[in-house]
Amino acid sequence: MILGFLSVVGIIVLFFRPRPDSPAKIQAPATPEKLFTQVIQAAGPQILKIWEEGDRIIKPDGLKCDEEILFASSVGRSYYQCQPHFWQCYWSGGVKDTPPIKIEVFGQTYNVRAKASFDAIESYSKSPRFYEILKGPYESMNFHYGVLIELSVDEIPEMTWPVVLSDTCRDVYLPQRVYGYGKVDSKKKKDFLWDNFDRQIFIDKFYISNQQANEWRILSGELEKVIIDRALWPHPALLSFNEQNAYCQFWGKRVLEAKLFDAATMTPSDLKDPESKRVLRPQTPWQRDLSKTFLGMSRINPDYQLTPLDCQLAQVQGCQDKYFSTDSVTWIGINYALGFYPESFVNRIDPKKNLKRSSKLFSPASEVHELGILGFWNGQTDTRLPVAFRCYEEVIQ
Amino acid sequence: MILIFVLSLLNLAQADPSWKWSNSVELSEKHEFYKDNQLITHPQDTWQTLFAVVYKDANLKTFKDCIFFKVPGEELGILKIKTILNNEKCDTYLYKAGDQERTNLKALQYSIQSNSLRLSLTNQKFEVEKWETPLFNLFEIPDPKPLMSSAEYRSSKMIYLQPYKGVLKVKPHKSKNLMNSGVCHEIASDCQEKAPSTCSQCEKGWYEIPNGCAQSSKFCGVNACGLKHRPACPRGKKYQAVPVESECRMDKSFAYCSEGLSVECRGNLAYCL
Repeated sequence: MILGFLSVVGIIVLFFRPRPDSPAKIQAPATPEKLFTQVIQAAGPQILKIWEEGDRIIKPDGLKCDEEILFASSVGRSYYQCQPHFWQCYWSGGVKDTPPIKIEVFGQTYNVRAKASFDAIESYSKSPRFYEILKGPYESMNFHYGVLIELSVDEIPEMTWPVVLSDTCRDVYLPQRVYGYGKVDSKKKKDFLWDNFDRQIFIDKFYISNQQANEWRILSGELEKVIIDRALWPHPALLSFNEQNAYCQFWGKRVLEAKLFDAATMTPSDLKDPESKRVLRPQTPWQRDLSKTFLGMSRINPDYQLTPLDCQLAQVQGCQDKYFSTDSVTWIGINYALGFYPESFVNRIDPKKNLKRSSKLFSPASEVHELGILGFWNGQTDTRLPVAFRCYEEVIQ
Repeated sequence: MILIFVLSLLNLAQADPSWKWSNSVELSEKHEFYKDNQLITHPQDTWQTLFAVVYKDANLKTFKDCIFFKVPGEELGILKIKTILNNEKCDTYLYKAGDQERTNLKALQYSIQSNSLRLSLTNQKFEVEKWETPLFNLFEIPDPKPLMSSAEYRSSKMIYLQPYKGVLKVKPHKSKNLMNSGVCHEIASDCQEKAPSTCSQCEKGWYEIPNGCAQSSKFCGVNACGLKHRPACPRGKKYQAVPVESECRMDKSFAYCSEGLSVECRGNLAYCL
């Protein structure tokens, strides 16, 4: 009886249940302007993907535009991210045979492409460019470095949309917490602590490359100093300290400080407590105790043979150069904490300790390969001491 | 050059306004009282500035479309759009002719959301025209998090400029650095921010003079903190004196100087000697 009653009620409820509206056919906008807007909007994520993650679409045999950018196994894929020369290569057909992005909207396929609207850069080639580098800031637009591009849709040929791409690949955020600088000197009771609460600090992931220095030289009108050899573009720019300062200042940044480098490379022992004033100083970015690493083993054993894995962790003497490598990334996401090139710092605590000495110039057994060990650089370029650098920025909004 | 400017203005004049508003970088001069989707009925027969849409043209010059509305009363309503330079005020044009007008309006509603702008115009035949514009560029400063880049923290990844029809040789208007010197972020002695920072527009960066507050006043110029006769370097919040209760002379731990120098207080400001 009850079951029968419930069944009848159920049928009635089902009959009167709210039904979803039948899917209306989405109509294309009435005006070409609106249609253009919607196609460009739909293409946005793919445009960004080519710009930020272009390395992912490089085929195993590399790129087909040696006159624009070289592909080499000694160069990590990060080099091709947010890389104007890769952008130029892509739209010139050096990555895919058919560069336009296909967008399906309103039952039709639209081909979105970048236009070669900009003047040639004579130092590179006579071809018109698919981009122009902008140095900000502009009124109501908050960026230091921007890449101006123009987008068009083959099927709506009369319209163009200029867009500025920002360099989202360059640097990473330094989380807010208490940090330590250098080694703890227990004899002198010296333990320099500091913090960056309420400060938004961003540190470059890699050394400044020759390609980046070229952009600065071109925008500054120093065309005679542009490095033409494309094979050298991924290599670190070897500048005097004054030039390093000028480069970073040009883009609204500063040469990296020693204390920030320590903060970015010394993994905190307690990530959950940013206010902890017990700040340990690990000897490497990957292991607190150096003796357990290949660097420690090399110190004990003079016959230690470097393995490829060792060279991934730190490019010391005996390793092959790998530029833009992300094989050994620190806890915040910067690279080259130990090894590879000597790196220049500003050091306001100990001004005479302004150089990371750990580099490919020293054997793995050398005591320079340890976090917190710094030397002095006179700031002059010297072929026997190639000094790389990177920038950082404190952003105030 | 003049021809390019005229061509760009023609582009502006011909464009569907809601089409070009997609690349707005800012919505300013919003009406003090009207709320989202409110039917605008008062004060009758008066001109009101609803809002202004700020955008960049293809050459990175900044323009502004002022949206005015004559509220219906004895006469029907009028929507008026006037394109002006960004440094001008919309109210100056309140009673002047617009570049585009929609007349015979019975009612108007609008709403400004973070990602879209909607206008609904009803004419005397009670026909409704709806303008809906996605706002590509409007940006809210995010909370910074690990692996975020400075570019993501300060603006959208893609900044859309003014779209155009036909041929326009884009010649980006040069940015200008505002300052070589002078204060760019003023913090009062009671630690209150007096004005938002403009330090990103300093030509050679900026420096600060620590005063024991979480943020201290900043000035355009090369940062040489910690060196002799220069401002001390800030050491952080955990090391700051408590404002008012404690002064620089009582607790200098919020700042530091290079080895061999010591923190010297000038008032509450820390220098190195």
